[in-house]
Amino acid sequence: MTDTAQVIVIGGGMVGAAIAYGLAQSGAAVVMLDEDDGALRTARGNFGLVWTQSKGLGMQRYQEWSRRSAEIWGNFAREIEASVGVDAGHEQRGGLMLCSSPDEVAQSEALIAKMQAQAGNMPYDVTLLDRGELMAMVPGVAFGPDVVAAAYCPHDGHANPLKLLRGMHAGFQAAGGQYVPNAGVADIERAGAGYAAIAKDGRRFEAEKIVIACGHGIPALAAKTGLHCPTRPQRGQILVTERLDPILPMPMGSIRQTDEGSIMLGVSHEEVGFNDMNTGDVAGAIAARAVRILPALKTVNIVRAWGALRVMPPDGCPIYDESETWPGVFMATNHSGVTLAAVHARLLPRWILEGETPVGFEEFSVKRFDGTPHARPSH
Amino acid sequence: MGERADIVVIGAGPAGMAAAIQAAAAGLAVAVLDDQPTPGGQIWRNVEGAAERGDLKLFGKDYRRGLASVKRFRLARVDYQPGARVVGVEPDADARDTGGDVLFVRKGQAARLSCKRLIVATGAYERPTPFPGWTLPGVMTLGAAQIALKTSDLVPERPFVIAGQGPLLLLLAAQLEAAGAPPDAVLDLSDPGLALTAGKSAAMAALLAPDYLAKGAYWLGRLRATARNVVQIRALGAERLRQVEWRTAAGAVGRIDVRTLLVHDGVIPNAQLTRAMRAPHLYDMAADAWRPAADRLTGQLDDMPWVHVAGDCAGVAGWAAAEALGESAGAAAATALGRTATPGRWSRTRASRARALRPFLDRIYRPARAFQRPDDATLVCRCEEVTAGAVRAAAALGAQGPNQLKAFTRAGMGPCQGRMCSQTVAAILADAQGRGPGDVGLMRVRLPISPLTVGELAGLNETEIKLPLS
Repeated sequence: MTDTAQVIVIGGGMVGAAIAYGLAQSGAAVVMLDEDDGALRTARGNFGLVWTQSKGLGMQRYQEWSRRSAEIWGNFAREIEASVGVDAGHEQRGGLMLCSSPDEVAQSEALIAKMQAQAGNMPYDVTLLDRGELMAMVPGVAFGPDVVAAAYCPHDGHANPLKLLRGMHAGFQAAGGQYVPNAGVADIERAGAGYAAIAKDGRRFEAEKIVIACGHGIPALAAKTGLHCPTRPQRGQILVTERLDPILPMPMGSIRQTDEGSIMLGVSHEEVGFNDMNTGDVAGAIAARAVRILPALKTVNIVRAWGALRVMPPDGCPIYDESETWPGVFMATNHSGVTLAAVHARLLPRWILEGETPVGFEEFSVKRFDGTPHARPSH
Repeated sequence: MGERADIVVIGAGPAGMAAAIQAAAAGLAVAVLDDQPTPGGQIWRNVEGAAERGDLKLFGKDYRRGLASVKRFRLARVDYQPGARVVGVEPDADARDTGGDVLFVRKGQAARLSCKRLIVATGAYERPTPFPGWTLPGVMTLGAAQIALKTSDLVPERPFVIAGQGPLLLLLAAQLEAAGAPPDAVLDLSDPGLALTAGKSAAMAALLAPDYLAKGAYWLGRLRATARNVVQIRALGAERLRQVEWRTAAGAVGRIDVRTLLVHDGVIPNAQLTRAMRAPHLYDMAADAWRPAADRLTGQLDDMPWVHVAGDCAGVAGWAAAEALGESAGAAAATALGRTATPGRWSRTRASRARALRPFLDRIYRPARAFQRPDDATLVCRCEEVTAGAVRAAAALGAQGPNQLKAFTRAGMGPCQGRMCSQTVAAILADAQGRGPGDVGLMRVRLPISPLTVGELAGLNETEIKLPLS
């Protein structure tokens, strides 16, 4: 089978679907190739923050990029809802990062100072609240005695990542995009002036351009097209409680209440390779921390838990690049697919279709790792 | 670290008790974790209590037999922990054959029990029965009615109707009649009504069958007066069940005023635990259900040799096979740990005899089409209130399988982790994609396989794990 399109997007997860959705919205003829049901899917394991305050330490462009995405997220979500009736549950009422020891307060202060210095002219609106100020901001939340401070940022918020994913898939198809499931890509070839993606079952899809956005599958495909993708898997575990009446007015870093009422508790950062099992020890640690922060959770049922693998670049910042030797082959990868969904859908299509990029976009190139030892990852 | 045992057995039904008795007789330290307060499993639930009440006769010969097995189990040198709800199993790190930990909740506390060999004997559960109105108060599963009868001597509120298919349906009808509360009507949803209406099959069943089927065949004759072969049912009522509407293949429709409707569509292996462990499972076409890929006699998992499955969770075959296979698994696990253990020679014979009947049973007791292909308005996932129509819409959006479908619809995300909907979701998806259910696969199951509180889970926080700022 041969299909010819303007652009093929490889990957139907949070990054691939956002780009494909944006391309289809721009009027391009797009095919989105997705893997099967058993694939490693980070997009089914997201925590769901639309977050800026801790994003981009060490890379001002990423800090700005996250902030920009948070700014346009509301419009982006409304556009999806208007076109396909899926409400992604976006709320932007600010967000808190809680400190439950003097050590954590010191860490938070240091982070704020560095981010502030790095931000330059861009406002970085994060305030460290003491316990009294925190209680005044979210009265009615019964914090445990260990909670001594919190960093507050008005630009932070959250959304329902699964509804976002479904909305982008539905919106992509509503805009004329062609979705092909069970089409994991094994190879990319040159085909005339364009390229062909060869599915594992031999099906062949041709297009002028190809965007490689298939998460953990990128490194192998990038290597075939003159690109280098130094990402690694990093496991995060999450617990979800039964539904409760609203008790948390805003997300608090690793604790948030969803639009459906359940409380999500996160989240670990584990270097365990391609192992996405969840474990009793980490789940226990997450639960113990949750009880320390909000003692009332003690008697609340956990109904579900999971582990998922972040796609983690060496410095924790996104990588966007185009192959020099295979022009028209792009790659896009990062571990912040929910926060960045709005800029991926709105801004990356112009880069892919017309070569038009935001100021400083080249800083996201994978070349930043050339000859440098891999920097410490940020969150 | 938690406690240690040589062998942990999960479940104290016919298979689990037999396995534990075998392994303990070989001199090993055996712990048995069971979520019920007393031994016996579903089939022999509260058999000791029924004996004390003098109610044993009510439930038939097969139930009475359980008393001896439970007594043997009580005398065995095993660390029996009733009221223990297992939430997951973790193999030792980086090894597939040295053992692992069982995580469970007991007395409000999560705990870990390490072992070298694990025997999973978690039995079977009733195939979900979605149909219009099935969530109305007054509609209950036949299994729930049997539990009420066994533990509290309660019979369903009359008038009541039993609807569905499967051997258990005959058995419960017989048990209720013996308790002085026969059903007011039986709506037979089997296709094409073989089990209740085809005399030849019934006679054949009686010929081949263990006692309960012979008994079932006897009751067939009695039930025929109140039984009707139908293809569809609906539960009607605003706040609660008022009427059951039925429709026959010929198009005849009728209604019966009822207080209670008991539904049943056979039982399927409870493989949540082995699925959460990511052991390979196979789709058994004849039984229309998934079971772990394991040795058919010792129950040793193909992919995880330190784990055995025994009894109905390894493939539904009834209590006689379960007891025999439990012995066999217990002996195999003990042998693997260097002990001498030989199950009774007759256990293999009993297992194969009970299993020999299975293809026949599977053929006459096919899952009811009315339950397997619900209409668009019917809820399939009760926890998250997802309709069959929403599942079909997600299939049309291109969901590759049940996991993407779960992400798109939330079906399977509630506390039951898809126990009540994953079969139906897979069947609907299979229809939409023109594939077989075995090809479509199942939703992933994860630890914890049943809910526990945040406080209980916090008890597992034995090691210092660094979490980033929250």
